[in-house]
Amino acid sequence: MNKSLYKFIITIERYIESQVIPDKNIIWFRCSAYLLLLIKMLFIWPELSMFYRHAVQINLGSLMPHRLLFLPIFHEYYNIYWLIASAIVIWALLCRNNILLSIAVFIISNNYILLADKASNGGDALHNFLIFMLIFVQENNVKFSLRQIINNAAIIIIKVHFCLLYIVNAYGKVIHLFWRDGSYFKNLWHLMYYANPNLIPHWFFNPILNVVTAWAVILFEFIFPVLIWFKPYKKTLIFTGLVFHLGISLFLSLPDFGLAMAIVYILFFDFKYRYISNSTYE
Amino acid sequence: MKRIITIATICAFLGYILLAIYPYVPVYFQKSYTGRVIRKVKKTLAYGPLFDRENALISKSASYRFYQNGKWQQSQLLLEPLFSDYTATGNFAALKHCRLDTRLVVRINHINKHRGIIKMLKSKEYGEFTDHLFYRHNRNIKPDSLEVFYYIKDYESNNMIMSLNFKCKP
Repeated sequence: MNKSLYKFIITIERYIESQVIPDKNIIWFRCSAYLLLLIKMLFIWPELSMFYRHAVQINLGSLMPHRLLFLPIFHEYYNIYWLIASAIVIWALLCRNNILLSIAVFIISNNYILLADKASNGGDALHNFLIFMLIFVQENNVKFSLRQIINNAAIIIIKVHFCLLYIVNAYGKVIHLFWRDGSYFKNLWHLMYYANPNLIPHWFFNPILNVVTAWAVILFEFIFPVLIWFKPYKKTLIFTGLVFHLGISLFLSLPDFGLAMAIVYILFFDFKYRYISNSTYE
Repeated sequence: MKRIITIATICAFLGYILLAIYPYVPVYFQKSYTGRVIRKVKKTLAYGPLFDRENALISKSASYRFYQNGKWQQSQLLLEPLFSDYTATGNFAALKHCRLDTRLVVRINHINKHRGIIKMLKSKEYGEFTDHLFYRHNRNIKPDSLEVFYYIKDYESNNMIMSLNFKCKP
């Protein structure tokens, strides 16, 4: 193997090994991700028959775990399936370090995505990705063990995914004139069945504020991925980001998207941790 | 084993870079098999610019009326009641339903615009739309006739302009 490539791999390996991710981050992250899934599942229940009826027309049932729900045998019992699925998510919320439960929750999350296919958005896909990565994430790892390496690698991938998502978004926005001149927000606040007229204050329509908001969003998305790795900026960036995503949730009627993005911030927060022995920490 | 995990992590990072540059690669690559696979991965991971399409800023509105029991019934707004329910009560199911209806009606409008009304009326998307409309908005009763109106907003004049209107016997 090329010497410099080998050195590069070793550097990354040491970086992954040296990361200390407190259990509190993992527990809060897991609970938030599963709780959001549970809330989404319970909230769509009143329209479950409609979504199921629509979904079975376009999704073929099969013995693949995530398509089991659409098998003819479940056509009469989808409510019971959903009840059991909700119970499994609650069980996963209460349990720790159960890889089988993590896989089961990922299958349920896929059921949700397929069920609400045409009514889903990027937030559902991101949320599903987080639940998938949680299969590899566990608490109470022994330092420098294989388990910890897998855990750290999974969390680093989520963080990098999130940071690159911001960079890609910032670039995707700044190249468009309608973002640079603020007209995006001018039109956005008037967007029917999207912008929430009950919550948007009148001063949001100010043209100068539209330009300022557009540039603030672009700058935040450029700055966050760079500065979040440095301790002095963490709290400010996390606070700003949470306000930003809460705003998206409320004003743009995207509660699922805003909350899925907000969940990832838990991984960036510096919880205090302590070593409970030479080999583990919490 | 640790080395394998490290290499897999590096591969994931490289994959992200590939996905990030995908929107800027030539169109013929995007249309190729590899391009379509990458697009699917991007969609699955929700990885790509969001809120950057000017089209997404176009306000849409749809209404419909049924001919049944020997007369045309009053026209009904498709999206308004659902979105109002969400904004008034926080009913997330109504918001999801509103998104589904929007997607269904946008798709038939898109087919009509690019392939014409006859192909639209024969498409499976039209079948999905009417099936849903009758089931959820007409108590699962198939009407004798259906008329659909679909409007998009013109920002210069601030008026809603009709983009799609058709009558048919389902």
